[in-house]
This record gives sequence, C-alpha cells and structure tokens, in this order.
Amino acid sequence: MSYLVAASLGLPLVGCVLVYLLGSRREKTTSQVVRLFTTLIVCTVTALVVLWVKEGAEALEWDLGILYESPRYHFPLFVYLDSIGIVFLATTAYLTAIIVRFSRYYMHRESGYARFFSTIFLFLFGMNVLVFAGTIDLLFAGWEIVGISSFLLVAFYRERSTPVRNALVVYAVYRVCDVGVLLGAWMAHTIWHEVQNFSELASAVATASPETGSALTFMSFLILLAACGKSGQFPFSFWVPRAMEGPTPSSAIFYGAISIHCGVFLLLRMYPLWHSIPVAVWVTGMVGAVTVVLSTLSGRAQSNIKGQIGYASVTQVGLMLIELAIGFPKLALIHFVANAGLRCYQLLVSPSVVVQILRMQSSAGSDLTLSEWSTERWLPNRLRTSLYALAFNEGYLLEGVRLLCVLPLRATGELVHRVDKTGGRIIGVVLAVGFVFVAASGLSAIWLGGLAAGLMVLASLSAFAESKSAVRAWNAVGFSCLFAGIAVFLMDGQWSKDFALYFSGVVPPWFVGLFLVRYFSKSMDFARAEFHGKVREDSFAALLLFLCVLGLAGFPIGPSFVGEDALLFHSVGNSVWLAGILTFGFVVNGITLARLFSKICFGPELPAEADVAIR
Amino acid sequence: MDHDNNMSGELALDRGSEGETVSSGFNVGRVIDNLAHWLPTQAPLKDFIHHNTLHAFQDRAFHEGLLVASRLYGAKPYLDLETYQQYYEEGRITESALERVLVHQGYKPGDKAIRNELRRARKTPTPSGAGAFHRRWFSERGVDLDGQVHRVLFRILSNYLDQGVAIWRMPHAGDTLWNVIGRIVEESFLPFPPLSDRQCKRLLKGSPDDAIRFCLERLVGSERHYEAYLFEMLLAHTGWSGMVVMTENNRSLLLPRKIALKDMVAIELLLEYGFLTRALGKFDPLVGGPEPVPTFSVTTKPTPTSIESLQRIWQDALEWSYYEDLLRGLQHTSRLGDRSPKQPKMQAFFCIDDRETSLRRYLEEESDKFETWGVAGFFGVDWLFQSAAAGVPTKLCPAPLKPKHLVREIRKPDAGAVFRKPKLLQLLHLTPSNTLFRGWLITQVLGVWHALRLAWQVFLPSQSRATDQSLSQIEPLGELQLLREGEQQTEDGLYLGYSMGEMVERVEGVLKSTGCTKGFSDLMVFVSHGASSVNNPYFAAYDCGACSGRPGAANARAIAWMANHPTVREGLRSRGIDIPDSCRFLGAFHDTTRDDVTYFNAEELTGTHREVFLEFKKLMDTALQRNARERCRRFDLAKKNPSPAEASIHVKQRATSIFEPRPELNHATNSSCIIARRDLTRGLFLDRRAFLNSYDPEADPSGNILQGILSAAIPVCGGINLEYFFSRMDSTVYGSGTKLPHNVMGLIGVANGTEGDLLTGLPTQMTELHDPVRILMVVEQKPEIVLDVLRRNPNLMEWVRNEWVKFTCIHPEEKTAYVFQGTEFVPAGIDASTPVKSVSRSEEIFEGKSTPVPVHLVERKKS
Repeated sequence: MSYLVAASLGLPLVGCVLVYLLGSRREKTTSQVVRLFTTLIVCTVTALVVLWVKEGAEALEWDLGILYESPRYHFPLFVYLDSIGIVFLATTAYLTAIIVRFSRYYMHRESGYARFFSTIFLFLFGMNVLVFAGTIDLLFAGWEIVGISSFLLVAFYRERSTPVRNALVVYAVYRVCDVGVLLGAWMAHTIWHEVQNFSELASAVATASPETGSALTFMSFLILLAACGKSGQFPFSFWVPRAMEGPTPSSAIFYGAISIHCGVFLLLRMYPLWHSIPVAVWVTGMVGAVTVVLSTLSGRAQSNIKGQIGYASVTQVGLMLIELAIGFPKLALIHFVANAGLRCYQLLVSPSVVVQILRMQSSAGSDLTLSEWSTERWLPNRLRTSLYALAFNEGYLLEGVRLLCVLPLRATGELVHRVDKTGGRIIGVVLAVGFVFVAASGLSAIWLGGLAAGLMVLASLSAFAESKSAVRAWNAVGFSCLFAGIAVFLMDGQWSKDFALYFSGVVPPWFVGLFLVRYFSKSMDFARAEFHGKVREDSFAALLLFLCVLGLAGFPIGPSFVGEDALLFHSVGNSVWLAGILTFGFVVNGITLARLFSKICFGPELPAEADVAIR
Repeated sequence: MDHDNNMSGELALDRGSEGETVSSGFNVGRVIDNLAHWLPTQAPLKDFIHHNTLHAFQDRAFHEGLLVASRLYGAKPYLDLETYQQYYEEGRITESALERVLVHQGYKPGDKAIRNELRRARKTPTPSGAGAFHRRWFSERGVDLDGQVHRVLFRILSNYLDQGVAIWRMPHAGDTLWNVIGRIVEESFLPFPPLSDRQCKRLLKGSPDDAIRFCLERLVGSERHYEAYLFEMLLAHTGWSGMVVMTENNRSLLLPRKIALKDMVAIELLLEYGFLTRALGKFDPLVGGPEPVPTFSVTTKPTPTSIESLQRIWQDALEWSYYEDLLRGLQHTSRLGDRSPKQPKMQAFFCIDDRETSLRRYLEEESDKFETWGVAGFFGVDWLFQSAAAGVPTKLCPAPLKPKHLVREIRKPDAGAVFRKPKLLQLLHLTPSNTLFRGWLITQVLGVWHALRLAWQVFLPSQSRATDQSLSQIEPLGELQLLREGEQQTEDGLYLGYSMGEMVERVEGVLKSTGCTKGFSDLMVFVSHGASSVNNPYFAAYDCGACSGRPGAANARAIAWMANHPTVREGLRSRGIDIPDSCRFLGAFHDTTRDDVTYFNAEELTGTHREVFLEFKKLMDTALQRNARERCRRFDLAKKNPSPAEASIHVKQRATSIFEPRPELNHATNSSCIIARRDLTRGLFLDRRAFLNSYDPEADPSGNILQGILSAAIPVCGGINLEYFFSRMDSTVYGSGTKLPHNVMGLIGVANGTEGDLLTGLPTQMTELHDPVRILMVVEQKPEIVLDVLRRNPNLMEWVRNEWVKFTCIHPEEKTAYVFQGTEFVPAGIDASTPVKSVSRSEEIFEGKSTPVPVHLVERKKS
C-alpha cells in the first residue's frame, strides 16, 4: 500500500515535468502522455481506496523516511491516511480526471496546451501532498504548491494585464494567509517541542498542559486564518470571482471544485485541536455565518455567471464551517463532495447559460416581467437599496482589506524608501556602527538579533514599495532573507548545519536571479509600464527566474523551504515576536517576488512607437 | 486660428448640424453623437449578426480605412510579414498573383528589387492605439485610473443591462441609467464608493450634461481637448461603449432598459473624478496652459509605413492567388455549355450559405436527375414568426428588412410529446442553486448527481442528449397561421399572416430570382439550415445569416405551404409560372453541425410522391455522410480519412460534446459569392468557400432581379466575410480572442474573466483556419448591365468602389472574366491556358489534405 501512496505522489510530479518538457508543439503526443498519466493516477487512487476499505477503513500512517536531519531539527516524511484524506484524495483524483478529459479537447490548438496540463499535474501533486501529509510541516508544502499552481492558472493568459493583476491579488491573499500555517507550524513546535503527527493530535491536545491553553487558542486562530484565505471566507471572499481568468476548466477545478475546499480540509485535519477550544469554535462558526450572509448577498448582485457561481461556492463553504463548528464533520465532508461536483459542473457548462435562460424566458407561458426582487420584495425601499449597495460592493471586503493592509504597507514602504533615498547610506552606516557597538558592548544576543530582524523587515518593505528599479527590489528581498538568517543565528547563538542549509537555499537563487534581473533590465524601462512581457522574448530565462523566485521565497522546491522551517524552529527558544517578524517578512517577500516576476515576465507586449493622442 | 471649430470640424461626419448656437464651442450632445459613430456595433448575444467590423470606415477606400482604424484602435491592419512570406514559400501566394499586383502598382514586370524587399526577414511592429492623453494619469500622476474605474463601470453597466443572470435586478432598473445610479447613491444607507463622495452626490442630483461639463473642467481643464479626452476614454473599452450605443438604439432586449451613451459618459467621468479625488485629494487638470498635444486626426489620409506598404502588396497577392484560381475555373465551366439535367426527377432549394455548397455538389454527384438551386435562406418570407413554444415572436429574415407580417404557429393538441419544457432537474444548476438555502438543499441532495452527470457527458458525449441545442424550436408543433383572415393589425402595425396575393408574390420572387420557372420535377424541397451546438454562447453566429442568425426551419415550411396552395398556383400561372399539379413542395431543415436533415410534413406525401421522397431521402443521407467526411478533413482531432459513416458519427458527437469549442467551423472558409446559373458551378469543387446564388442572366436584361439579389448578398455575405477577415487580422482588438476563458455577462455579451471589457467580433476558434481574403463577388451577367445596377444603388456602389468587396463578372456570351477597377469593368486577364484539374469523385481531391485546395472539376463518369 505504501507503494501506492508513493505512486500517487510521484505520478503527478513526473507527469508535470514530462508534459512541460514535451511542450505544445506536438499536441497529440502531449495529449497521449497526459491521458496515460491521468489513467495511471486514477487507477492508483482507486486501488488505494479499495485496499484501504478492505483493510478496515482505519487511519493509517507510514514513515517514508526523513527528508533532512540535524542534531536539533528534523523534517520527517510522515504519511497519514484516514477517512477525510480518502474522501479528498478520491474526489480530487476523479474530478481532475474528468477535467483532464474535458480539457484535452477543449484546449486543442491553444498555445499553452502543455503548460496547462503541466500546471494541473502540479496542482494534483500539491493536493496529494496536502492530503497525505502526516505533519503540519509537510502539509504546508502541499499548501504552497496548490497556491502557486493556482497563481499560474489564473495568470494562464499572461499576455493580458487583467489576469496577471488578478493572479497577484489571489496570490497575495494566499500568501497573507500562509502566515496561519507557517506560524501554526511554529506554534506546534513551541507547544510540543517536536514534530507532531496528525495521528497523535487528539491525544496531544487532550494531554496538553493547562499553561499551553492560550497557545493552543492562538494556534487555532492561525489555522482558521489560513483556512479563510484559501477558501475565500470572510474577509477574503473578494478574490474568488476575480480568479475566474483562466480557461473555464481550470476555474472549475480550482474555484468550483477542489482548491476552494482546501481550508475545509485543514479545519477537518486540525479538528481535534480547535474544536476543543470553545472560543475557536465560536469564532469559526461566526466567520462561517458572516461569510454565508455576505457572499450570498454578493452573489445575488453578480450579473456574470462565473462570478455568481464563485460566490455560491463560497457560501456553501461558509455553511461547511458552520457545520464543523456545531460538530458535524461528517456532514461537512459529504457537503464538500456534493458542492465540488455541482460547482464543477456549473462552471463547465456556464457558456450554455445564455441559451438556457433565454429559452426559459422566451418560451410560451413564461412570465416576461421577471420579478425585480425575489424574497426581499417586502423590504422597505431604502433598506432594499442599501442591501443592494452592500451586495454590489461585495460587502466592501476588497475596500476594507486595501484600506487596512495594502495602503499602510505601501505607505511604510514608501517612507522607508524616502529615508533610504535621502540618507539611506548614512542610516546604513549608523546602523552598522550601532551593530558593531552593540556587539562589542556585550549586550544580550536578543538585541543583536532584534536589530537584524528589524533590518529584515525594513528591507522587505523597501522592496515592496520599490517601483523604479527591478534590480534594487530584487536585492532588497535578497538582503531581507539574509538578515532573517542572521537574526536567528545571532539569537540562537550557535552555528549549526541548519543555517548552512538555509543560506544554501537562499543565496544561489538570489545571485542567479540577480544576474537574470540585470539581463532583463538591459532591455526594459522598469518604471515606464506596469508589465513588460519578457517571457515572449526569452522564455528560458523567464523559467529560470521563476525557479529563482520560488527558491528565494522558500517554496518547496529547494533547501530554503526546509531551511525556513528550521529557522522558525530555532526561533522557538526565543520569542513570539521574532517568529512573528520573520513570518511577516517572509510573507511580504513572497508577494514582492511574485509581483516583480509578473511585472518583468508577464503582461502585454509594449507598442514599439511613441504614443499618439487623437484629435 | 480658431482651434475649437477646426477640431469639431475634423471629427464631425456631416451629421452634427443641429442648428444650435451655443456660446461655448463644446456641445455635449453633438460630441457624444460624433463619438458614437466610431464604436463597434455588435448586438447582444441573442441577436448576434455578422457585420463589417469597420463599418464606420466604409466611406473610405478599403486599405485607407484599414490604416485609420489601425491607428485608432491599435489593431494590426494585416498579417505579419513572416506569415505572408511563409504563405509564399508554401505556394499559397502564387507567383502570378504577386506579379499581377506588382504590375498593377506600377512596378516593372519581373522587378527583382521589390521582390527581395518583400522577402527580407523583419519584425512587424505592434501597433499602438489612441490613448496617450488618458494614459498621462498613470505616467504623470501615478494613478492607474482605468484599472479602478473600469471595474466599477463595467459592473454598473452589466448589472443595469442584465437580462437574467443576477438574482437581484438593480433597484429602479426601469428608469434611466443616470437616475438609477443617482437614486441608489441617494437612498442607500451604505456608501457606494467612489460615488458617495459629497461632490459626486451633488452632481448626481443634477443633469448628466452638467456633470460632464463639471468633470471635464476638473479633469482636462482646456475645452479644446474635451472631445479628444472623451474619445480616448470611450476607446479604452470599446466593447461596453459599443454595447451601450447598440442598446440605446435597439429595442430588442427582453427586459428593456433606458440607457444612453451620454449617461454612461457622465457616470464614467464621475467615477474618474471620484477615484482621482480619493487618490490625490485636490488635483490639477491634465492640461493647464496652451501646451500642444501630439495629434492624430481620424479624417486625414494616413501615410502607410514602409512595412505596411509591403504588407499591402502581400495581402493583395494573397487575395489574387485565390481569385485567379476561382475565375479560371469559372471561365472554364462557362465554356462547357449547358450541363443541367434535362428532366430532373427532384429539385432542392438551398440557402446561398457557403456551408451548403459541398452538400449540393454531393447530391448532384450522386444522381444526374438531381438539380439544386441557391437562394437566400429566408426564401423570400419576410416575417416575424412566433412558434407555439415561444412567448415572443422572432424575426426570420435578413437584418436590414423590416417585416410587416406576423405569423403564429397554433399548437396541435397532440404536440405535447414533441415539445419538452426543460425539466426541473436539468435547470437546477442555474440560478436557484446559487442562493443560500435552496442552494444548500440542492447542493447536498444533488451535488453528487451532478458530478456523475458531468462524468457521463464528458466520457460518453454521444450518449447524452443535448439539453440546449438551440434557442429556437425546429420541430413543428402545429399549423402555421399563414393565411390572413382579416385586415386588422397588431399594436406594432403588423398584419397577421399573408393574403393570397402576397403569397403569390413571395413564391414568384423566389422562383423568378433563381430562374427556376420551368421544368418542375415531382418533388421540390426547400432546405433551410441552422446548427446545433452545446455550451456555446456564439450560437447565433452558427445559424442562418439570412434569417437574422436563427435557424430557417419555419421559413422552409412556410414557402412550401404557400407554393403547394392551389390558389397560389393559380396566381402564379397568371404570372407565367406554370407549376404542374404533379409537383409537390416540401420543407426541410439541414443541421450543418450534425449533418442531418429533418423533413416537415413528409408523412402527408402519398403514391409516387412518397416513392420520390424516399429516393430523395436516400440520396440525401449518402450525400450528408460524404459531406461530413469532407468537413472532417479540416478537424485535427477527427480520424484521418474516416469512412463516411465514421465521419457522420464524429460530426454528431461534436454537436453534443460540452467540451468542444469548435462544434463546426461555420463560415471559416468563406471567400467568394457566385451569382450565376448552376451550370457555371455544377461539379466545381469550391472547397466550401463560395456562397452560391442561382441567377439566370438571360431572364434579367434590365438587371432588376440582380439588383434584388445584390442588395441582400453584398451586405450579408460582405458582412460575414469582413467580420471573419478582421477577427483573423487582429484576434484581440477586432476579434474576441480565445473562447476558453469567456464569461457570460448579463446574457448580452461575453468578457474575459469577471472584470474584462465586453468582447466583440469572433473567437480564434472560429477564425484560425480562415484565409483572410476579401470576398470575391462573381456575377454571370454582361458588365454593362451590372455597372448600371451598381450605379443605380449608391449603397452597393460604396462597397464596390471602395473595394470592401471585390467585384467581377463573367460575360455570359464572351465567357471571360471582367473585374471592377476604379469606376468600370476591365478584362481580368485570366490565363485560360492552364487547364482545370478534373476528377471523377470529390474524395480524390482532398484525400489526406487538411489545407485549402484549389478549384477542381468533378465530372461524373457515364455509366
């Protein structure tokens, strides 16, 4: 059975790489390979489900070995399979198989044919890692892969600006909510001082000492935050309709069917943890309820079909949260399968909506006056209009998040920038002198580390606000990552190979990426336009740059992923705020890097001549 | 120099003289009327009809209009140089055509230098459109204004015009757009950013004119730039701007809306003002002093760049490569003499549609007793038709006609079994499941069922019944109320049905215009056409263009009923058309996607008619399968060289597959329109590229019949052709790009994702195989008669003189081709020495080929 597990993890990954390498030029071959791999995956998953049921349908656990180990830290590969996992695994595999079959015809002659299927396999790989993950660290890896494949498919039509812009919105929300899992993993380390398997979660929570109570509550909220982001719950619902930019089947599998339910999966996985804490249960239920109200209202005022289906899906996920909160995980699980099936279908046949509705309207005996309001007819006029304004503006969520998060971040970044411009060098020198001074005066390591962590955040913000020079932004992110490592090292006080691992994961992509950014900068005026579309000129360099971005952002592709996790593990001994600052920095860096990459490589081709105005 | 007058004079198109004298040079109403002229005119989805994308430029010579439009919209005027060069390498652009074009342009015969220049590799630059003025908000003030404004504006427009997607309509949606927004902002307790700004609120209480003036003053500053600013603003989202103009002048929406371009402009300016205030606080207008703005005028003659000149040569050569081949074929057949069957056993009328040409060829190839005719597919029945299943009537005749007759279908009591109302279970995935409580129930109960249904439809597409084949009812549900009983009119001034005299006129019109006035066989079938597809918002583009984008089934039934009526025949006899009593007319319907034919009221045929009908049906079935096979050569995913039966299964599967973005290829191959006796095209393999209209030159010495045909054929065929042409030239500006991410907006249009502009034109899936050549009109008639007809019709002359269609004629006596050049017809100089290849079966021509094939002659072997 463990072979089957390995196969269902390995097949999508191999498929992803193979299909990408084959490319779209020989569509028939690519299509056959896609079919072969999908068939294999479906067979593997079916066999796994059958065997699992035959063996008594009980939770199983395998140890696939250890990915990385050092004296104080290790990253084990625990695989865990229970009824929740089986349901998600099977639903994902079967719906993806349908989508693949659908798309092999639908995507015919599309220039990104291979890219599409490659990304679908990447998504499937991420989902399977997520589903099989036996520890929260491994789960995070799957979580990230699902996120990046989502980004790639929203920006599938990368030669237009809107998909790229919306892909960045989606990615930013994902990234912000990654704080939840990232810090959650760190909390797990603080609470239990070692890697905790999901199989032992229930007993671990039950036996947890009373003083960890507040930590557990905090961790529950982190988990909830992560779930809300990925599943489009309050206050993040606004990204779901905006993500409908890719080809219809990719929207169907992601925002109709599977990806939107990742948050539900996380909550089901961590159910023993947060459901033991009344406050967390309450808040989860409330978030679900608020989402249900806002998104059902927002959906009602959507006059485009995909947006409406998106909000309908979010509403149902909100109901799942309520079901979970009141203690019906099984019901939520069934609800997930049903919702995935229905929304997937709805999105795929959404182009038919014109014929179907017009046919209903224009058929004999139908009421052509079409009531202006449905159930809300009895409301007083002004209240009705107010409700409409609320629905039209999608609950003001986008506005709110922009006001509360994006604008302050940008303002701070610009401030850093201005200071940097006027006397950046001087401040740098002052800081460096201060650094040496503090070090020499023998003050505690906390101060040194704190200073480094502060520098990390400053660098991150500066990169975030940088709009004139791509090279400068890239370097600022690089420095930020460097400072993060230094900060933990200084606080931890002792060198270990974990740090070497971290730096080895960060520095090479930084330098290779720097070379590439310089190379691209030669032929572009970064500030002149929003996007530069360089992937059209040099797709290989763009791919390399993408890999560098993933490496630098701590994506599960290189050592920096485990390194980042180890870094957070080491900051355990220190304090919440250090972990908080690091996480904040990592999140901002992730967003900055995705944006930088998109600005350089994606977007429309710029007109060659000077602009003309009309008279 | 009086700048204001100069500018308005340049943009105005002799249409703004309202006699108003205003103190200020800027007149809101007049300027907006002027701007509306340049916006795309594409109707809402359900009324989609092909038209010339650059209709606004039709008063200029073709190549000139092309360049102006290119400068204005930022669209590619021609294919890239590399593509033309590749066509040349492949032989799709012939040496003789290139030589002809070069000589015509004044180059020496065999000029080497220009050929080298044409074949030199270089990059074709991306054109940039208007908008520099507007973009200054980004480049100078750092505000991505369009990014913020469009999101809100599009949603306002889409929600206001929505025809049934949203569960909630906009409050007060019956009022004008300006008032609706004003009332929402006023009444709502919650803000409506950015319009809840105090200044915006105040303006919303006033008139749109005042708001426009106020905002322009704050945004632009200088009055002489107002018009240019507004123009750029509207051109930044041509899809929605155009749709607003279309719905302003068009009452076809089922839920009528009082929208006006002026309201939209006012609201967009308010949004701009609101967002700018939010981003910048108090801000200065773009233009302070009298600084000059770089200009491009839409009325001056554009100078082509050197690359554009080369592209133009290539383009003309590409067109002539096709024209020469076709004209050579037609010259050849014109010299073969009378080849029509002496005593046809059965005859069929088809629509002139290019998709019917191959079917007609197969029918005649199958039997030498078969004769076919081509006529616009509404068969002269100019009406509004209301099916027994429909609540509203539908116009079933060419778009420019204004029908005066309404005909209802009266439901037969036993017709219930034929018409199925959509089942509740099938419709549950529409809006009800998107609400909260019903949605929860539906999801919990039926979610898995939908997953299974999806799997069923995806893995076994041919098994699943298409639930939404077409908007219109094809199967008859009862009798047509064709005969008018009284002279009372409906509220809209329509007559209920036709009088006997009017019916005689309709039938006479069809028979005389095609030249089918004698030699009637026992069975004459009117074959209308339409297409069935699933999951396809472009459904209206697949149906009959002569029936305003609807299936023409009812027209075939109507004309057959009329022609069978004894009193009508009586009337026809008195006008010189003697239809023998043994002759029976029958209506039929050809589904061009599935390649099958439905016959109407065939069960009423008896005796010999039944026998002939059965023979007809058998021939038709064979011809349909062979036709399907010919179509399959263009489908990449079809089996290579399938058997006719396999091909037939394949095309039917396409019609019911929800994952098939190309149910059929529509008019993708259209490139010519031949108005001539069938003798000229009989047996010619035209590769489904030609519209075929039957016309007897000898019966029309005055040209009056020709005039009737041309006044429908030029706009309809020319419109189809140019829409494909431009969508192929620039698939994102003129076309709607790839179909795959499209999202239906308010049932009136499609957009990319949820926030995009409405898309106009055709998707790449429909145009990718299209060879962009202007349509070649070929008329079999003496040049002087044709010239006379054109001169009598300035509207038609505009198309021809400005070369938006290419016009030629085949002299019926000299049997040579003439081409219209400048103001007259000149000999086309087609080399007749190269023989036209001849084969004995159509399949020999295209076996194993998937690219366009030149003209061949299929000659039946005498058995």
